[in-house]
Amino acid sequence: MRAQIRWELEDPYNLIVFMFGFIMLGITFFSGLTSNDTVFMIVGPDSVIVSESAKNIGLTLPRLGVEEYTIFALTGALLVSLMLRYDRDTGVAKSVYSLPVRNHSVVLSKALSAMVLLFLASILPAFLAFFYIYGDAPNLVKKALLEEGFLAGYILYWVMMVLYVVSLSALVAMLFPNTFASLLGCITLLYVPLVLKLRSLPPAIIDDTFFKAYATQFYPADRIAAFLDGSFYVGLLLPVVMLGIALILSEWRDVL
Amino acid sequence: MRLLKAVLLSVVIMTLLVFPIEKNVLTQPISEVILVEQGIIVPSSGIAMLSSSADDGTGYTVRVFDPESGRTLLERNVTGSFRGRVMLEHSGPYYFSVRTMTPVTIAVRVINRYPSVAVLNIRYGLGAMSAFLLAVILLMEGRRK
Repeated sequence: MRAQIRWELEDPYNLIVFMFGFIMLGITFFSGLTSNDTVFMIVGPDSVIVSESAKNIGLTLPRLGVEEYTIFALTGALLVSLMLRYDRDTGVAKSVYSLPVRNHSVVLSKALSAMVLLFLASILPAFLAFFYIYGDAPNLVKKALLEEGFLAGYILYWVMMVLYVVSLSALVAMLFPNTFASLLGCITLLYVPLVLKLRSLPPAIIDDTFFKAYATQFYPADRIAAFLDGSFYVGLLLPVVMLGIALILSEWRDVL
Repeated sequence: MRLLKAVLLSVVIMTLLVFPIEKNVLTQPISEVILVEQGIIVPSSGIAMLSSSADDGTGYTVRVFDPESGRTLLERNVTGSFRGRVMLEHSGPYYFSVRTMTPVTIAVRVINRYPSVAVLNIRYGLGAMSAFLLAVILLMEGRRK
């Protein structure tokens, strides 16, 4: 399994998709950050102003709006479809899946490497864009990330998003007949909640609970608890179930 | 190894693309109106022009506070109308307030916006370091063959 993951992470096709996602997301995050100037209300002594400012600079950390989510979902769908379906289309899969490993372990290692790539392609440009703009206010940024508890919640936010996109795409890729169909299916299914404005499905629900938890709670532990409380079922449980179904399907379905 | 090269190359390309994007955005000034107390997150450094007009004899206090360094940039007791400017030396939040008995509004315009030296150092440093690392890796690989 480790060899399989290493092989997938070194695959040039996957890395081209990774670079596409990285650069496009980075540019979108950056232009979103430069063009907005947030206004917030504060009343109180200077120490309150400092901590409120740190909170508000934390809330400007780049998150997935409509534009960013489109690129993010496209990158995830491309990665997973390429990994799970392309080798089956070209027939390479016959030699991979005939190795003495169970099918589900091959699919799981592919899904895991897709998660690693998508996670890196989103969180690295997010921090890069953030530091390229607010890097000259190091005290406030440090205060926001560590004392206000933004770092943990923000990483959790990306973990949930990545988990959702990759496991939904993996399920679709297992169900659909070839790369092209699976790519179209993934993009459609990932985009439906955005078009229909369903606030109870990702990305909206994860984004909303993150914002609400960090804007209304005061202590880092409370914030993370509130964030998890609001997004546990759709952000963690649903993706794990979908990934499980995809793994079971991979055992049932023949390689081609 | 290929993953590392992909990350480095993406960092270099993104760093190069950041400058033209920012140049477009920075030509537009930021305009806000301050009623009582307000924080504004400015995404670049610049010069904030403050202006307010009130009847003669109306007294109020204008204050600009920088939460990053904990310094008060401007604090002035004014009667009548007021015009002033403050250098915003870094990006990030600033706090503006008007203390008064009768309602006075202040207009803030951030003009002459530019990225500060600290931010440029981060960009040049990170971009150049990744480019250099990438070059070293490619050279080493080329030599081995």
